Amino acid sequence: MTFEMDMSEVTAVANGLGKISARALDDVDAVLKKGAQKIKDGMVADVKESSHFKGMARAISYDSHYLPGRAQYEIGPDKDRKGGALGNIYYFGTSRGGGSGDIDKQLNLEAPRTLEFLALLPAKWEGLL
Amino acid sequence: MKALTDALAALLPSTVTVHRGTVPSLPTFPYVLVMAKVPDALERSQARRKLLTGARVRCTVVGLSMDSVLIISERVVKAMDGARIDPPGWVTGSVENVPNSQWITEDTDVTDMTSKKHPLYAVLDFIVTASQSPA
Repeated sequence: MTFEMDMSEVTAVANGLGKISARALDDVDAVLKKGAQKIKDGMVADVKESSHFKGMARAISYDSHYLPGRAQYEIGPDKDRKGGALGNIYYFGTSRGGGSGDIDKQLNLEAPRTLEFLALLPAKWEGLL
Repeated sequence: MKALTDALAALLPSTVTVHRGTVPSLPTFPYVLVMAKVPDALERSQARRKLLTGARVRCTVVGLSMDSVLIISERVVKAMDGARIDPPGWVTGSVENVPNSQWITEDTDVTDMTSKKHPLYAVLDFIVTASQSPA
């Protein structure tokens, strides 16, 4: 007894998924990068309003970290830049209090918009299948 | 809003010295400084009515040694993380310790007059989500 199945459509889908996985990371990274830039810009604007901490505005930056299938951005004051060491005091205070900066504010503002853009990506990839 | 932050601060163990908002000029170590943030609207309806509020408190645990800070921090987290509060006028979720990636840090601007040591401190953030009870 023989059993035969036409796998051509399955193969086409598998090939499409392969194309998507390569492109998906680039598309997701582009959205995350834009979000990271907006968060950074917002954090810079916030700190510029502080009379004591505006000197650390130029120390706020973002770094990207990539792992297989994963893109990640880390945003905040860079301690190696001038004024960056003040970030700890601005956001978390000292043993006597302080910490007037809100480190989550810009993330909370931007995260919903970034998630909306990410949710639009699957429709963009449909044509590749 | 005061009821929410009061209920959060009331969770702190009675075995630690707690200062709310400010620290005396010559404090006795160890202590916990509690700061509160005016609660934010976390979620709104399409008509922009506030549905969910997030109340945050920051507990700065201050001691003269790393061990002291770690022991007090453990007590604070044990008392607060996962706890339920019942402030009048609010329906709340459980209290959560929010990770902030902060290391225990030495405060070199402060010196304890007795031991001549600089205190060390850890910052612990907690949040509880809440909605106002129907009138």
